[in-house]
Amino acid sequence: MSQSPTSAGDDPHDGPEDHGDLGIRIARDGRWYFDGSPIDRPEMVCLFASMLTRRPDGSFWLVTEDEMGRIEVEDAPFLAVEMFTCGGGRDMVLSFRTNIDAIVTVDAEHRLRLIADTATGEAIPYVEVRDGLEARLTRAVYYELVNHGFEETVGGEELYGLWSSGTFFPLGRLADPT
Amino acid sequence: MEQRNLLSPGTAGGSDLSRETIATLLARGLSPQGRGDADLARRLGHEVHPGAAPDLVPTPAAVLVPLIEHVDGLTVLLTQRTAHLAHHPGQISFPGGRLEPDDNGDSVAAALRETEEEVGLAVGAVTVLGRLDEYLTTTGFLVTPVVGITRPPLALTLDDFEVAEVFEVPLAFLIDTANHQMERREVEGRSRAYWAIPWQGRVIWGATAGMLVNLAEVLSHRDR
Repeated sequence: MSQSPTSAGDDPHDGPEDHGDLGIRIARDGRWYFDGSPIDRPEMVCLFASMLTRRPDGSFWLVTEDEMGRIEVEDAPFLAVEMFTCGGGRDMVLSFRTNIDAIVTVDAEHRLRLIADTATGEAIPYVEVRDGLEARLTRAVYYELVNHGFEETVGGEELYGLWSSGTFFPLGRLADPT
Repeated sequence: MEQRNLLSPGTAGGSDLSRETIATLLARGLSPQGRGDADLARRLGHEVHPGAAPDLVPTPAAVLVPLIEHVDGLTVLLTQRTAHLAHHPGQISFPGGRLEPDDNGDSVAAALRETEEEVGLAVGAVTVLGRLDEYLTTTGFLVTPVVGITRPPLALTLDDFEVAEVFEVPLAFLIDTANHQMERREVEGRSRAYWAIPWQGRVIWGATAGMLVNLAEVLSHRDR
C-alpha cells in the first residue's frame, strides 16, 4: 500500500536506488542502444522515454519510483520529425511530432532555440519537449520551419522567424532580405 | 501510329513516363535530407559555405519544374532571365521565386503563383505531381522544386521585366546523365564545382542544373 508522503522521509533508503551507468545510449539519430545493440521495440523506447529526466548538471537519468540510472545522450534525446501549423502569421500555433510520437506545441515554456553547427555554419534548431529535454529538428522539418517564417522588427532589428502561441522565435537574419 | 508506339516502347528514353509513374517516383525518391550546392562541395571534399554566418537563415523560395505533355513526349519549360535582374541575371532557370507571407509556407502555392506571374501559365492549368528535395544554393536560397505537368497548347504571356524568353528541352535529354557535366570555376580564390547541361548553344548550370540532376536520379529508379 502506498505510504503517506510525510512518513517517506523516515526511511534511510528513501528514493530510488542508484544503479549508476545503465549502458543505455541515445544516438544522434534518435535511436536507442543498450550495450551497443539497438533497442528496436518502439514500446520499449517509449517506456524508457517516459522515465527520462535531466538533472541541472545536464546529465540524463532514467528514474522510476524504486530505481534510477544514468544514460548517455549524444545530442538531444528526441527528434522532431514532423511539423504542424495552425493559423498563420502572428496567430500561428506551431507543433511538432517527435520520433516517439509525442506532440509538443511551441510556446513560452516550450521554446525553439538555435545552435550554430561549428562544422558547417548552419543553424541547428531544438525545441523543448519537457523539463530541459529537447528534440532536435530534422533538416527536413527545419526547412519547412524556414518556409513558414517572415521578417519582424525586434528592437529595431529586422529578424526572420516565426510566431507560435503568441511568442516570436527568431531564427536569424535572412540571407537575402527583401 | 499506335501500333508502332506499342512495338517500340521506351525509345523516347524518359519522355514516355506517365503522370502516375512520375508521381510515384517523386514520392519514393524524396529524401528528407535535402540537397544543395553545399552537398556537392561536401561530396567533393571541398570546404562548405565559406564565410556563412551561423545566424543567417536561407531565404525560402519555390520553383516549378514544368513538364509539357506533348503527343511525342515530355519536355521541360525553362526561362531565360533578363540581364538586369539583381539575382541570377541572364541565367536559365525554372519559373519561381521567393515565398510571400500570403503563401503561408506553402511551396506549391508559391511555385504556381510565381509561374503564373512570370510566364502566364495559369495555376489551374498545372497538375502537381510531387516535389524534389529542397535545394540550398550558395547564394542563400532554400529552393523547393515542385514538379507539375500541363498539356499544350500553352498560352504564355511573359513578364518581360523578369523573363527574356522561354524555351522547351526534351525531358529525355535533361535526365540523360551523359549530358550532365561537372564544371569548376574560381570564385573568390576557391575552386567551386557546379553542374552544367549544355543544350543547343545555351548552358543550363548552377542550382537549376543541380535540381535536374536530382530529377534524373529520382526518375531513373523506375525499374526498381
